[in-house]
Amino acid sequence: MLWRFLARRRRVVTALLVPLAAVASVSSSVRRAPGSGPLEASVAVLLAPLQAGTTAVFSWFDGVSLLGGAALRRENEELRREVERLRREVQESRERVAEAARLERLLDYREGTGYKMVAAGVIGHDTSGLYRTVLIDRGSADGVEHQQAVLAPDGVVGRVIKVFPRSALVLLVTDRSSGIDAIVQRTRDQGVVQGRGGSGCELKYLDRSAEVEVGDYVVTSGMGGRFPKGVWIGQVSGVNRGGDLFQSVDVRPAAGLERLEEVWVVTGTPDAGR
Amino acid sequence: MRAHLASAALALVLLTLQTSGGGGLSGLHPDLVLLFVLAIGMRRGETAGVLWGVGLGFVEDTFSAGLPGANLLTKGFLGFAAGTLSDQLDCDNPNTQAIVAAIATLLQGAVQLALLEVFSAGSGVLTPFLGAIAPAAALNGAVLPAAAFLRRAFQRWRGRRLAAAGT
Repeated sequence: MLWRFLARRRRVVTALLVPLAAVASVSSSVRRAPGSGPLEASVAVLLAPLQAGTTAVFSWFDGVSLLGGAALRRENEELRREVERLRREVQESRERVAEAARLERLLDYREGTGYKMVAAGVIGHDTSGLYRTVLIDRGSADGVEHQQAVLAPDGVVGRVIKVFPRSALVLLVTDRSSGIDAIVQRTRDQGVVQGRGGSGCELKYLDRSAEVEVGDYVVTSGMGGRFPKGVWIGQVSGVNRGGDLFQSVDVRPAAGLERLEEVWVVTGTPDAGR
Repeated sequence: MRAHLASAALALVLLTLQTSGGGGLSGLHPDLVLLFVLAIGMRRGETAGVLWGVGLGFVEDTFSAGLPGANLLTKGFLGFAAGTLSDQLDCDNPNTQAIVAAIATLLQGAVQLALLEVFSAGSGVLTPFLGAIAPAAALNGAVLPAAAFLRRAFQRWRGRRLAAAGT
């Protein structure tokens, strides 16, 4: 009887399914830290190796040039293969050298700051164009927690917003909902660096009397304890003093957020590490 | 059963590509999951469209910085709409596929932007709409008919091979 009733009103029932599922999804995530639900964690654990593999494959294709091979194919098939093999070897060697240099910089950076950090590889990024996030291959099993700071040797990357057992989602400093307490290194004026959703940021709530200039460095203030003090966020690329109470300052992020491969997650202060 | 398993395998591949950021074209990424949900809705009806939309939307929400349930809601409704409208539309026509994909992308983007504006740090709608959603709609409008064409070509090739094996 009930089944027949449901079958007759199939369209209404299926249309009701969507908001019900959405409400269930939202309400189940309200009382927990984001990403900590058993279903979300299971999905993340299942997909993490596939995401890492896909990213590795696309990175490899990014580095290999096939254009030279096409020209050589006209001359000689064997010679072409040989050249391609050698090119691939050179490419791989270069990739290893670059990777070693990056890792060396990462290690130097960690030892310089004294903070307890976990190195993580980037295995994915947001493709919707609405958010600025990256997925890293370290999660709660490695000591990563919600809201921890994420850094690169060049500067601030962002903060952790969702933690899964073996991966975590990082909100980049350029996302519209990202805000970091900052100071202008030269003048010591304080403000908040907020993302613009594109590739840039804005230093907000900066007093109109602050004499900030293009080229000034913006660093973390250390307030709130989430980010270590004095880490480079970016460089001032434009100043607009047209506002009423505050001036608006354009900031170009220091870390190469479009080409992130390895990052550090700050898991503890120097004192906590000892 | 085989068709469902093939759909599940394809969904897994598309989800992995989508959430790892692979499969982009000059910085633009087609919404592969949305296109899959629309295709399922148009071919198998509203129930399949809703179920795939809700399921895949949930997984996308897991890896998204947006409001929880935003993808689940939009993809579920778009799967339902594609299934409901499939009776009235010529779903094998590439023009129809392109228009459906483009409109669905614009609708999804508009809803997600509105949610972002209301519940998160609102800092303008026009720039992300023109800079991210409109190009994505154009790209999705091109990718769905192309994928449907490739699918048909594969089915024809498979049919010919099976016929040749039979004779």
